[in-house]
Amino acid sequence: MKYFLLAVLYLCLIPVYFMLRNETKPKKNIILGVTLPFEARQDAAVQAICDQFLRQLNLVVLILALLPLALLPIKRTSVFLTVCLVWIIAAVIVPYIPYVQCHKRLRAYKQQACAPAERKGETLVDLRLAALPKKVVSPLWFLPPLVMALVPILHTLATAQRDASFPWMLFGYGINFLMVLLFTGLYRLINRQRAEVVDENTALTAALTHVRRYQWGRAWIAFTWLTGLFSLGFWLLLDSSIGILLLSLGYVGILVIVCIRTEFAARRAQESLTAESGQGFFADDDCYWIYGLIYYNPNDKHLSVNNRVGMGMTFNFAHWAGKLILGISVLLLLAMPFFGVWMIRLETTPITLTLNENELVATHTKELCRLERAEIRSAALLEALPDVVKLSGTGIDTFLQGKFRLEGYGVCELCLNPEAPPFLLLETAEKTWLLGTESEAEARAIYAELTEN
Amino acid sequence: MLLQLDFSSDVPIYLQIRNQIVLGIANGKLAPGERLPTIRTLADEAGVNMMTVSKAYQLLKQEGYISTDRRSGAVVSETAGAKQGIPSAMRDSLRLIVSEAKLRGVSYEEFAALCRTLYSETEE
Repeated sequence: MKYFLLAVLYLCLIPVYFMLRNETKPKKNIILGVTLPFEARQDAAVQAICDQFLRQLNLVVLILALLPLALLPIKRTSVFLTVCLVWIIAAVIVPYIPYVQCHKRLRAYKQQACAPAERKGETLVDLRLAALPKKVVSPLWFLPPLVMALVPILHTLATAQRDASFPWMLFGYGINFLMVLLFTGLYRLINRQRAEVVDENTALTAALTHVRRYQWGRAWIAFTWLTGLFSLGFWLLLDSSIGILLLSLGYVGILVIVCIRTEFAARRAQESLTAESGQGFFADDDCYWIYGLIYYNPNDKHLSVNNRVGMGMTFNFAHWAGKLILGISVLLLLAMPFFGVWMIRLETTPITLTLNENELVATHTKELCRLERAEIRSAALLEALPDVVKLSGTGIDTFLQGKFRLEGYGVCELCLNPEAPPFLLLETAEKTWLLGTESEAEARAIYAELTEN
Repeated sequence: MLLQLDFSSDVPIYLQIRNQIVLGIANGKLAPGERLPTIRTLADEAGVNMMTVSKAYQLLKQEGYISTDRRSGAVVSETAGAKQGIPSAMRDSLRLIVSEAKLRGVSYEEFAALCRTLYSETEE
């Protein structure tokens, strides 16, 4: 589990590192988020700022990469997870500190050395290019993935038992379906994004616009199909936790790889196409970018624009929806460590079984099950836990709760600490329960009392 | 042809669009019969409201610089650039500009030279 989490951590850091490194290469006349004329891009002072940024970035990323190794001795998974979540926030924010410092230095250099000074409040439109018809693929391309994502929902609605896991299953399939819809919408959006005007050269603008739309258009189509297949696979492999884990890993891995490959392909093309640009008139909308990272343009009614630094698109934070999305994102980012705290509580709280005259009650952080003694048909004591496969619920090192498939017993409701045998196997008219408590003596005493009558 | 919209200017955006299209037709960057973007596309590209572009196009159509139809959208009018003379509204505007220049102490020769320069710029 720890090594899996470590792999996820590095998966967050590596793209950030390579994306930021790439910002020192001029693309569309922009270096480190600052638009510079051709002559300035050749200046030794600019190169010195880029070199300084690379040195600082390497140092910061090296420290961040070594930190998780120091976490390995932490025994409790939940504590390890909490620290990892804090680390992810650091990995998302800290590499940008040297970036912002060097961006500010480069901006100061531009104000001092480049004439004319930054233009303010100007928007450029290539009229001839805008008049050309846009090539988009047929909507039929998106139909099969939508159907693939819809099948599990319809099947679940038609056949699944209406128990505690039912809403969760629907929620999962619903999220997949919404993802397919989102990717379909993003394909439409990429073709409605503003053309990438860098200077007066219409052919260059057309080429740059085509490159981005082609690369990301292909990626969004691939993502709709991938998500449709993932949804279908998830539904077919529902009873196999290993299968679902491998499928999820494969899905996320392919998604990340396609994103990185797409963005780098677009940026390589931008770099070579605009190598000679910026020698006469050139587009400069630096005044709308805070540190070259945050797009804030009250004059633009677009909610999303092509990202300057990083991948894909970003939001216009002058737009009310942009502000809302920013607020939600910051809240989610800051709430991540609280998820870890909840996990710690889950892992450290003992399970208690209370048997009174009429009922058997299992409690963890809250009451999890209440069985009337009269409805218990049979009771058995299992000295070891059979192999289990989680169908729905919670499954961590010291706490299993929810619906599980038990080898030799079929589908059971579990509420136990797998590290604290023995376990009570109880059968009622509707379900089979496997319950546990932290104390072996207590479990045996409850079993004795249940079987006495 | 690049449309440069200055949001910090006092000139309304629809008028900036109208003026720059007129300049584009005059200096040959937009040829008669050339297709212009649809209202929606231009609004998308400029990040402005569709009403703003619509207002600019209506003005251009009224003045005879563009024509619109449902099939091909907006196109630069075939008559744009053809000899039509100066309409009375334009003559009134020019009269006002001449008067203002005169009040600023600009001589007839200086004003005529400026007109020649500006006129030749549209032919570059």
